[in-house]
Amino acid sequence: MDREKVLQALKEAQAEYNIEDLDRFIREAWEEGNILDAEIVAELTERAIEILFDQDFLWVHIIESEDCEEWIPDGWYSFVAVHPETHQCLTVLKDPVYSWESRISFGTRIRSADDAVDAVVRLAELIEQNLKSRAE
Amino acid sequence: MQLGQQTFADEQIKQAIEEVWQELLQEADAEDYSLEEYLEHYRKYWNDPEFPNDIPEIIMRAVEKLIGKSLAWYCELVRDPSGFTGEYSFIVVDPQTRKCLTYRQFTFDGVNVHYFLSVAGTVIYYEDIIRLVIKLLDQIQSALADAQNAALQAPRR
Repeated sequence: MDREKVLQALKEAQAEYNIEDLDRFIREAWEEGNILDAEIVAELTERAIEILFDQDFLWVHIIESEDCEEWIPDGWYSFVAVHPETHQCLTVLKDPVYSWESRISFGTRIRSADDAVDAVVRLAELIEQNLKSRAE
Repeated sequence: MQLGQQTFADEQIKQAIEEVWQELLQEADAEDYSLEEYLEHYRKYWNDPEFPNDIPEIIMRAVEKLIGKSLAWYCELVRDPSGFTGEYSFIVVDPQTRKCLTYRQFTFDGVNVHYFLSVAGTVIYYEDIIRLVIKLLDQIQSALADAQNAALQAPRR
């Protein structure tokens, strides 16, 4: 996946969410453990993917937390994407190394703008693989 | 041809849950104690991360045992600002077709369509596990039957 395209998609998503400084926003969401901002980071990641593919997907995201009681986001996110027409899960990982539960979700760390670019690149590649496997 | 769904008696579901529980004890090399006792501890130590994590495993293994099929799944432990709510939200995918088997859509007004990718339920007592297993069985079997019917009705070359 072309990083330039990913950067452009993230910039478009960032503009839709009226975020001035993406790196600062993502860092603060993590450092301050702000659950609402973490929600926006997850949505922005999903939106960047949709811009890249020029297509809407159905999403579930989980904002991970180390602390069960306080529920403070730790900068880790899990995403599940489903195609709206075929209902095919697009985040299936075929790698046998992964455990049962992580096979249909994409887990990633997003604590900076660079992390966000990496996450979108890898998530887009996974979705592309899943779309191709269906076409085959 | 419309393919039907298998219905399970409560006793069959209980038996599957008990079998899974015994398997989990063996795998963990743990001393013999009942699922009821486990649930008592679980209710006491609600927010201990060790406890809620076993519940999805029990539920999904029982579902797989009953329908005789391995499934790919993800379970979210639902939380609110006060912590874990006791609710579990399951996304289940057929590993062969990659179809999301917990996808549902509905409309209240005939115009706006709402969708769900997961099936959720609260687990506090043993009966809640049975209820959630039944809920998942209904949804998963219905999705599998729909997929089979669609395949049968698809034009052949």
